[in-house]
Amino acid sequence: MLPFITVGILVVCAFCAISVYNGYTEKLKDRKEYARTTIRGMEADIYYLQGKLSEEEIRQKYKFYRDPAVRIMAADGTVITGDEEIPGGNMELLYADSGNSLGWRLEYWMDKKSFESAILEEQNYVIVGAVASLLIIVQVSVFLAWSLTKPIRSMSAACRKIDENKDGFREYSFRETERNDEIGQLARTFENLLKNLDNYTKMEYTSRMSSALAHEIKNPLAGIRSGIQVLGGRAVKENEKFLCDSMLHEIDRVTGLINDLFTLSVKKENHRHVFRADVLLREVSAIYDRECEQQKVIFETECETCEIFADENETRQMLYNLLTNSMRAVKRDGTGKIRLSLSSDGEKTVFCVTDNGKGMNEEELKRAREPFYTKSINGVGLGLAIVNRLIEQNHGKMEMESAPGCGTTVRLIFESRDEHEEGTDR
Amino acid sequence: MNQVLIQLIYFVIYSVVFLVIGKLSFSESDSLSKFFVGERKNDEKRLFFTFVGTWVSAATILGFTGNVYHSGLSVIASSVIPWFIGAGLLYLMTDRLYENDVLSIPQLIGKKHHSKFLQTASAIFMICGYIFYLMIQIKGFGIAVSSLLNINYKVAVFLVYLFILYSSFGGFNSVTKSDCLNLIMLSVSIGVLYLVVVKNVPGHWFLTDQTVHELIKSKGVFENQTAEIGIFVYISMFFGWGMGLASNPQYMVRILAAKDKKTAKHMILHALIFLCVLYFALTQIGLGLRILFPQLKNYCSADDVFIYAVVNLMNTPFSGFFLISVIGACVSTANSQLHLIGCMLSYDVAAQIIKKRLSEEQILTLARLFIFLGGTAALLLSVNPPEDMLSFGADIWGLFSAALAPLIYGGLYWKRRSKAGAVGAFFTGLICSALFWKMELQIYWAFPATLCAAAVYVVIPMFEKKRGAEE
Repeated sequence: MLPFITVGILVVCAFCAISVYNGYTEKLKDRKEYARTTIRGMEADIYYLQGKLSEEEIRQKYKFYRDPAVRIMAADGTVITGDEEIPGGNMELLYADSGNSLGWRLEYWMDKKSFESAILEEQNYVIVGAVASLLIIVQVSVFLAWSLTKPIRSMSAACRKIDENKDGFREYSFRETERNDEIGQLARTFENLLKNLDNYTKMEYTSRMSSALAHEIKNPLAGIRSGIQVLGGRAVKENEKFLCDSMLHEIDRVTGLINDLFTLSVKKENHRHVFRADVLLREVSAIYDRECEQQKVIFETECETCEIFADENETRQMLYNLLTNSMRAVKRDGTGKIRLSLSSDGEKTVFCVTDNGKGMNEEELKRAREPFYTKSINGVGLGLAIVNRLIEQNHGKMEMESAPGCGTTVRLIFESRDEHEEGTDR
Repeated sequence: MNQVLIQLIYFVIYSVVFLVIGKLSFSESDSLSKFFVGERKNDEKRLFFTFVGTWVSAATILGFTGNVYHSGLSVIASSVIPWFIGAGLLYLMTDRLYENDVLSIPQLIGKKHHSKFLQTASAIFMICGYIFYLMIQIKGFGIAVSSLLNINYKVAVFLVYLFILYSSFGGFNSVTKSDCLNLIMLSVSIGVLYLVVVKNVPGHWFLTDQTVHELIKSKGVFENQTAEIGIFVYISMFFGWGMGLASNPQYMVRILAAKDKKTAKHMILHALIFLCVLYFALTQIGLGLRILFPQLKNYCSADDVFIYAVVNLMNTPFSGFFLISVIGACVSTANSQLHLIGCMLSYDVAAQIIKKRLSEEQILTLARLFIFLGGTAALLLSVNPPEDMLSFGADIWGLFSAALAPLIYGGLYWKRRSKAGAVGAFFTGLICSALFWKMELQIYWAFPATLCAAAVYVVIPMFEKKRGAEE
């Protein structure tokens, strides 16, 4: 607001200065004119009297002239009326003339200080009005600036609270997100940044953690697995064989978890190429068809022949993760249904996984892609986070729709072909 | 340098400092607690300044001193002594009052009597009282500014907008900061004026009515004896200024704003000590002016004599600073009351009447809007102000005493209080005030009005209890 206040102040000051200066010059002009008229009048009077009265008699008449501003000096240098000495200090000579027949010098003086005081008194209301206007301009500007910056201060206060209470930052939301102006935009962007920052922070920690885990745990796990395999081969009793199989299964699960962490956190080189998406779909379906049959879940597929530009292994993993999630969500009493479909319009290829499981509410849907967020007892919460990471690496998009009791639909949208190179068939 | 120009420079400097203070306080008014009572975290120093700043108004500086000039020391018995007794009651009630977690006094009344109607009704009553009292401040401001800038009184009162609205918009903290500035200026100017008067009345640093009478007689001026006022009238005057002060939310809010009870009590004690010194100085100035300029009695009213003497007759370069300090005193009291008008209208009236729950931000916006409207109403009324500030102020405080004293003190101390008793006392106070004010009584009208209201407050619960026991 400072430029506006400055402009306002300058304008008002200029107006006031012009008004006062104008008043001063007009009044001075009037005073000078009055002085000239007075002197001229006196000269005319002297001219008229000269033929009728002697100089001494005319002197006597003007000796006690009523206007203290007038000073008359005779031709011989004696002062007839007014100060003996030439007035100094605040006095200013407005008009003088010696053109009369007696050779007298007629002077009209003005007290500058009184004159300036009179100007100030006449211009009093202008000056007061200017001061009042300046005060109003400044006050209104201060108030407007305070009102305009209020949302920014509110956001700053919220940020300070977040900084003090790091664990609970998810609970904060900015009221300003409801606004439709630039402040609202800033608030919404900042809120998204906070949410993503949480994910980025988690990703960084998991990256470090998984690198360490991968190295420290995988090797011993491999050794344990080999040992159990050997023992399992030598086991005689059924329950011993079953026990060894269970242990191998758990070791595989832990290894899978470490691999998932690694996938999520460490950026691996991505090999995108054009391949037949329908072939991949049939491969995945073949595995899950059997699984679903065992779990009494209806599994449907629908595909059309089309190509996709992506990393094949990563795409396979994405589909596995989505189908695994759906398997966990649906009922296993014959009513649960999972549908895997593939479609393409030539520009985009879309994999769609739909289930009729328990679904997610708005809050769960919003947070589903966050690492380690899960409502499942068995899960760790990395599946969708990995899918999200991989789809981004493949320059694709993931869309999710869900509602409690209505199931979930996840769409993975890929490019159908490479815009920079020619695609190759698988 | 031209005197008017010097005074204009004083005015501009004061305005700039005021603007800076107001600007710094805006950021401290973004919650109801901060806006209304400074978050109840204020230290003694700040509270001292605001308590005294609120107390010392145009009625004190101009009205009291002018009345001392006209009527002598008897004015103390009808104003200062009741004020101090009222302040004593405030001191005694500090502990009880502070225990309540409220943002306004109407809220306290409503809470103690379980009545939202009483909260709203008492708030409306207080608002009306403050608007009328604001007229006195604006009048004082108008007299001072018209003398300072040599402009018409009606133009001068419009300048009040520049100050009281601006400082009130910033809430409690803005009001207290401006009170600090104004009180410092006032203390300096009254101190200097006291020394100037004492210097001009040689051999007398402590003047009494007797001394004044002798000295002006020696100048050949004879004056009529003022009519004696009966002792009972003086005692009954307590129910004007005294009890009105003790029932006045603008002081109670400062008790609530303290960081603890001890701070609140110290604030009142130290304020009273300072005010003793101030009133001594003002009394001496009033009596001194009577000796120096006895002729003013014939053509200057009580409210005008102080300013007229200092500006036109004493010929001191300090007169501009004195006028600014009078402006400051008026602004201090005015912005405190305007702040309360805004708070009560928004929180105790609008927020209670409007069915939809208002957010804090909405209440604060309403408070500022009502500050503007209240200030405008007082401004328009002050174009034709009352003749005598002191007696007009006494009447308003008398109304506060009659209508609010039983509710506030009964609410804090009377265990057998009831809603019906409080409502009855409130309306009895108002009706009796209207009746007794018109009558020519031997005692001050607020005394019987307050007694009637108090009686109703006590009797109705007893009657209810008896009826309850019979049923």
